[in-house]
Amino acid sequence: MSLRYISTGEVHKDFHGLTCATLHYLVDNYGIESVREILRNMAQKVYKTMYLALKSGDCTELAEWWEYYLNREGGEFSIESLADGICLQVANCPALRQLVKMEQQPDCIMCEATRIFNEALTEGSPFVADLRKTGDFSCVQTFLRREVNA
Amino acid sequence: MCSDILAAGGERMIPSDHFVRFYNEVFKYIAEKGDEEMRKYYDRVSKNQEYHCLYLFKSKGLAGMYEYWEHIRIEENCDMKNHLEPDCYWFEFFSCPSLSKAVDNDAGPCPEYCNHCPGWILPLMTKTGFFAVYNLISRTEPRCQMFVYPDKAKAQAKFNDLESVYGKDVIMTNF
Repeated sequence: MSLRYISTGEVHKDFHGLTCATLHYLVDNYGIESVREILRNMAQKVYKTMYLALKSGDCTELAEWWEYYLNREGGEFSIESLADGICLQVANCPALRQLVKMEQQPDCIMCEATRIFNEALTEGSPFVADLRKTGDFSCVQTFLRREVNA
Repeated sequence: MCSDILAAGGERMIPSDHFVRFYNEVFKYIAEKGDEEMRKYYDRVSKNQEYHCLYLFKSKGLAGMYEYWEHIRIEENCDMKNHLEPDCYWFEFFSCPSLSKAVDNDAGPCPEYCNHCPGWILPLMTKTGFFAVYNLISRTEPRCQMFVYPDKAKAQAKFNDLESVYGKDVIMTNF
């Protein structure tokens, strides 16, 4: 496994509630650009190894990251390697499910943050990130090589 | 608001395990805007935490605090100990997983990272009528303590004791 960060033990899913509240706070007080700046730093500095791997055309760490953390959070999903990239199908998103459990709405700002984060991960890489919702708690995400995607 | 900014939706998330490093980047961003902006954000975090704590602390007092941080000890994999005494609830972190994750981070930790805990806890203590003394010990070591009293004089005495040992910069109160 090539993951930079490994977490073990219990999972504190309540953090999704504060992530959601924080995203709203940032947008309301500093605008959507603040979210873009912070998530770009997340994608390219915190997840530096994954970002650099994607820049070099390697999806391995991204696939392992999806696999490891979606399993850890109890998500229902599948990952498929494609000739021109990689595809994640989320059938049941654990973050949005946790918001509902905490009497919140399955807030679309979480999805927007994911889209921004994915786009930041692909900056300067041969990939284009795409996100398509398929239901209230489900989606399909792809990272496809630009020349094929164009 | 979402309909305005949501060009396309997706539902993979920042994993909850990684929230600390997201939080760390948020602190860096807001800290550049000054202390007052940080305080306003901590107030928002505190408001969010009311869902988990406010009723518990109001209805069960010190025992409710023990209950909450026992849940946190387990669910956040904390190396810490909770203490419940007749006139005081207190905890001590021997190795805080939150700061540890912020430090184990290719983007580096926010120097004020530790401030967020007293930042959200102290306003909640005020709302529930308790007096708290938070001892960060050091902002570069994953250790801290907090003492909560129903009695202000006892809290003041604890503050005096801790300040003489650790210094004013790392001791915070809500009184």
